[in-house]
Amino acid sequence: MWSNRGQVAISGVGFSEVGRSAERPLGLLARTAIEAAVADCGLTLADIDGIATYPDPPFAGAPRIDGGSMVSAAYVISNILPGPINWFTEVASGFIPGAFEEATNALLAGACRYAVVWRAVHRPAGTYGRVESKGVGGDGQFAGPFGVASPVQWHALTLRRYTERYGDPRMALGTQAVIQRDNAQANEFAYFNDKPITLDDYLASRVVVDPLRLLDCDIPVQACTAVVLTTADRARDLNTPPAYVAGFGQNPIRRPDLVHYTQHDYYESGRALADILWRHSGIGPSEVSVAELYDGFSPSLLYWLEAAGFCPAGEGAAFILDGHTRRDGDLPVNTHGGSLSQGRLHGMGHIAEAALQVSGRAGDRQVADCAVACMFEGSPMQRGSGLVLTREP
Amino acid sequence: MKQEAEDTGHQDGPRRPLPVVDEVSAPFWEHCRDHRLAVQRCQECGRYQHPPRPTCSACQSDALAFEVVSGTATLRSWAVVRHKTLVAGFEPAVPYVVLLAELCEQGDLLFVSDLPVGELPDDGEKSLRIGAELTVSFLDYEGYGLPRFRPAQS
Repeated sequence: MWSNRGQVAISGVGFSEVGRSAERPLGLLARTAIEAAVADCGLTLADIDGIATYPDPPFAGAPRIDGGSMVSAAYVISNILPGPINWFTEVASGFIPGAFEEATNALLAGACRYAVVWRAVHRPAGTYGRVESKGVGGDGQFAGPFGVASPVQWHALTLRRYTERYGDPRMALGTQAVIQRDNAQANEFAYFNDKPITLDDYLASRVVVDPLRLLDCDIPVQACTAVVLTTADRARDLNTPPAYVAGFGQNPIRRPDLVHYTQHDYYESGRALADILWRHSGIGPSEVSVAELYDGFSPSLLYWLEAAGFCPAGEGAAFILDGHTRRDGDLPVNTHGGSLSQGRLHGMGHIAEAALQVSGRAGDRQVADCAVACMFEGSPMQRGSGLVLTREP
Repeated sequence: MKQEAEDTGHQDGPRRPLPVVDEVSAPFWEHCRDHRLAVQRCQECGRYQHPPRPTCSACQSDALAFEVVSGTATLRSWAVVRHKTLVAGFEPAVPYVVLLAELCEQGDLLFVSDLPVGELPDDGEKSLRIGAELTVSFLDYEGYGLPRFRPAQS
């Protein structure tokens, strides 16, 4: 078990508005979110001396416009925080949990006192993720010429294999989509918080890439989410109950980085990550109160539920249909609406919700007696990362 | 085993993104231009790998060479793109099948292919069964040979 378990905590959570169009530049949304997270725990911007982010625009090939399509550490130093900043980093691996992990380690090392971790996602005009290239390099050169460039296509290929192996899970996927949309109605910062859906709506939603439907896909948004992390002793002096960091992990499995990233065995890959996370935190799946599982595409929920050990392999659909993942079930999943209904905050929405739940601050979404929250990022067959937060250190 | 002859091509087909060839992938595309499917193989441990890399992902050797393979494969999975504007240039092709071919030489050798719905065999989407036999053919396109897999004719 990690010797620093419970020594770092999330103390503040902040959101910008969550919208579909770039009414304000992303840099201003980042300022809103960071100011909100800092104010949430009673600090001032001048208290923040450490920052970390995963800065990349949320889909491959997007232009890099600092303050426009992304918000880098340099931007935050120059345009948001008064400083002085003693520590900062940007990560590539692990996505936003990777930045979270770096900030945790920096706090433990004494490199900074109060750290902000943020994720800013841009939604450009036009078709999201549309690939507009005359030429494709890197591993994409083996896929682009054949009209394959978008994650929705890769995930459709994976879902078909899952279906072949375990049966068609669409009723469960639709059930979960409805559960999460219902959860989003109680979330001020969810894009679809005024638009409930039914299972019939899900089944009628148009096919994007067969077998994936529109309501199987997350909703791209323009938003920023930020959290404040600090050491546990400092956290206890602030005005919010801490959400303690019990463990984290990145998936280190040795496998070729195929362009066909979703074709790796999700169960084998996800188990490798989950084993690390549960060992690191000393917590097992049966002790988890709420699970915030990345849902860029709804089938990822099946893969995470199984690979993390919440149910046996192949039984994710039955697990959902049996009601376990409802907000009143024994393992509520994506209590904030998830990427499907809150919006594609790229995992930061899941981390924020996990923190709010274990600190008892999730309002109408609050799960009773929420002692342990886990968060898994990405999809298990890609690589993924994760963390565990607890109510007690 | 002789690989299939070329595609008949499609003047009305998609405007395809072209491969940006690098020094590691160059031999692959040179073979393709001559209508040969060749895959990088480690000369020490014998494992194939694709996409090609400077070292073997199984044993880390740098003794790699491209070897021509049979061109036969089985269908790992498939999907049908129905959203019009996903990949620029492919609008006229929608709906089109995207499929993953698993080379018979080694189970983790995966190749992406596209296939117009109209080019499926007579039994249409029924020919798309996971495990179905596929064969390769080459489309000559803008100076490149593009290897494409389709269900083998029975």
